Amino acid sequence: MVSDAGTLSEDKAGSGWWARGEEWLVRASEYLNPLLVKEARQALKSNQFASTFILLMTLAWGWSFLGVSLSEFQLSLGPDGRSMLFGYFMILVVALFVIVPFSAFRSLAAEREDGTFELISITTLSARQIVFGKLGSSVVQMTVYLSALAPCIAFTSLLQGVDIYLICFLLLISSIVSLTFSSFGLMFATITRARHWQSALSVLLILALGFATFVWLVMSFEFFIGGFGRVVLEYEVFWTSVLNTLTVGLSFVALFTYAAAGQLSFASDNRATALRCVMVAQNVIGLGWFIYYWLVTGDWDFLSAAVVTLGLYWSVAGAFMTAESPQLSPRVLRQLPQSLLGRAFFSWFNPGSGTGYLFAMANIGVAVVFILAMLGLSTVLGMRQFGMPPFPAGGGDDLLLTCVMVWAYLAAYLGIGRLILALFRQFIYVSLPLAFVVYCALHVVGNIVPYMLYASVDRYQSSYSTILAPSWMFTVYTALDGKLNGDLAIALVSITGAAVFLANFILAAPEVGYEKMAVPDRVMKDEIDLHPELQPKAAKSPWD
Amino acid sequence: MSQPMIELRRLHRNFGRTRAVNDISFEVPRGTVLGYVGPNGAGKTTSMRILATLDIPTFGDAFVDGFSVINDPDRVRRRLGFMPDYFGTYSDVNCWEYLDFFARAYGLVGPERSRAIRDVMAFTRLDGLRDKPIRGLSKGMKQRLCLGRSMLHDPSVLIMDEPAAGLDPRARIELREMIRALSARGKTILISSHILTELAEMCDQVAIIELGRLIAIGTVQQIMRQRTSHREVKVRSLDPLDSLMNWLARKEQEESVFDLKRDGEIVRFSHRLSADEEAGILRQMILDGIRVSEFAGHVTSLEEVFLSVTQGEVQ
Repeated sequence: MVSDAGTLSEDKAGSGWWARGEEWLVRASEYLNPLLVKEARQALKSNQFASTFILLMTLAWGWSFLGVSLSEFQLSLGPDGRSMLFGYFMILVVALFVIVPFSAFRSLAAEREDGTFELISITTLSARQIVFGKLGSSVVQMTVYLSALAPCIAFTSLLQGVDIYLICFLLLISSIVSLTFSSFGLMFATITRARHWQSALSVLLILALGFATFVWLVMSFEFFIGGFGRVVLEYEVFWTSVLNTLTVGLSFVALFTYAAAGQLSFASDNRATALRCVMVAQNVIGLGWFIYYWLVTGDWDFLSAAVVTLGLYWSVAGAFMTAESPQLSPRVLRQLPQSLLGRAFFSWFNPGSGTGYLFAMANIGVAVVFILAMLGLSTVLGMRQFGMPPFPAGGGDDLLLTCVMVWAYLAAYLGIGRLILALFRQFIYVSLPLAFVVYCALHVVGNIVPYMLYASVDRYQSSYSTILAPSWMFTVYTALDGKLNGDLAIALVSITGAAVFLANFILAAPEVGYEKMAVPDRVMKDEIDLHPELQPKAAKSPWD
Repeated sequence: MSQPMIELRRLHRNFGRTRAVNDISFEVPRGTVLGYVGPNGAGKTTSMRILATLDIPTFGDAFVDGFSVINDPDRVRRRLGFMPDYFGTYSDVNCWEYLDFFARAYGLVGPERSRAIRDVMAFTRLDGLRDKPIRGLSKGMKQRLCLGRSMLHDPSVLIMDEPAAGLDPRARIELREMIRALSARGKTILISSHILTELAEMCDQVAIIELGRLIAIGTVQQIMRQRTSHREVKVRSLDPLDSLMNWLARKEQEESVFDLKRDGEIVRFSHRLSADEEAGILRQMILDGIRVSEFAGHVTSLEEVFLSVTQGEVQ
């Protein structure tokens, strides 16, 4: 029997392949995240884990007997394979979509409630390692549940109407979604430390996961029972959908994981740069997929959808970024890019309210410019012969207008929100929940009040009115619908957006003025003591 | 002068309008055991948590082995072991698994980790409880396990917040012995406790804080000397006490001593003399033929010091 760290205990040393295998496993565990090892040990002794596993097995076997009985033992002859698979899928989805993410949430929340998180946080494990350890534990749990149902699911592949592609698709998508939900659960657990709020969050998360599971099952029912799966599997679109889910899902896993790690990291740490890198990746992935679908289908609505979706994405991301403190700790200042080019291109990745605002605007700006470039290439330069879809008559104006409106509204709403938060910061500490409340209030006032005025002044008129100009919801919707004809409203929104952007651009200047701070000699000496192989090097990157 | 292992530099920590820590500065030299004393709510735990990199000061900074807790928390953590005023244990794991997890978390690998776990289990006398589930441990055992956890990475600085709270006398004595042994190994220890008699036995120095402010720091005798301008001496003689009383009464007339009083078989008096001058009185006494069998300054207890320097105010 293995006792510890790669050594066999002298009194119980075994021989043969079993002992060797166990020793190899212990050695392999040296490379695993300590939290993963700890949680695996806990799970093996946990009644909760054992009972969930047994319940899952019982349900699966129960469904096997019930399904076979209901088909009157004629499974191989009839189209009941999909019904059987759907039954197993329901059991699996509840485990993967509810139990695994909620366990991840509770696992981190319990560490914080019991004070063990503090003990872990003062070890040499980084916040990112802690979150990845918890996520790894979710993956292990997921694998165990998948393994429990694997024999049953494998059994359905022998039946009518079910093939291996369908099974792989199911398992892959379910795993990705489960991983995304788990990372979201981890991020959710970092929102508050207060026990009563954690209880409220638990209920909220369970409800959200339950709802998501229900929606997924309803969609899956259509997919399996309606025979849609067989049709879709035959098209190239199906496989791109899988790739789409993978890239988008995994990018959200990265986003939630880094957000959770940022929340858990030490107050003077850089919590922003890694997250902003993920956001840039998501911007590229999102834009890339919309352009791909536009090219494949020839439907220009995909480009309109791209600019609106990315606008919504950056309004949420921007709200959180503008809540960041504009002050940088000496710890962060030591890591700033130093060269002129580095500062010009990477200062926007530094933490800070102003850099966050400009970062969001730059990203949506890139997306807008790219979409307009597509429009230009397709219409003006006539790139149709290179596979670009033909443009519908008059549609170009609507897309252009939508792009301008989305950029202007984002500039205005984010900019005004940032200025309000900057004002608050003069008197109180601006937390993320406070920023969230401020932005919610801003959007409610900006959208609901104009609509109420509009309804009271001109209740029977269905056309767009200038009163609705502050409301991005109505204005963008009207622009998408091709009915935005209020020149005054367009001008108002554009000018307001540009003015607010300019004001924020000027006010954000001090945040770009930060200069790299020298690392103290004591720290340099310690670094060389720790890593003698590291010697002072010549500048090779913008950070040197 | 060598670098202090712990340094608090104008440390402030505010929670709303409450100033939990209010401009505290002090240094702890290498190998010193410093008792951190103060009423409840004085700011002990807050300042210890800042040192342990669990909190960040509103103003000022704290250093461990020269590294700032704000700017280099990772380097501080490698040098520091923290034992909070709660256990922080997991269910469903045994003692060895608990220590193994934290040893891994401190980056110890392979045989080095095994050795570290064995060493701390032996030091904390938990070697017989290797496979015992943590939930079955007594409070004293859990406290030893937590001490073991904080020592796994062989830190040069240990911070212990109320480690003796709730322990029975035997467990307290065992803990005291362990802290003495750690001190003998050259560890710098900052320890808070309300059991002042025990703290006085363990500590080289004490720091007393109240309302977030540092009231006094030094040895108990140093603090007492700072706080009071006189020293009380008790004298016992083999001769009848009258002759001693008469001798001292003459000195009282000369205003060398004051507050002369007889206390059973002992005579007590106070003075404001230097140590040399006090020795001169004893020498003169013997030269004048008084057979002195005991001549000792009153040893001030930590409790007396604490009561004399604190006001018992809370915020």
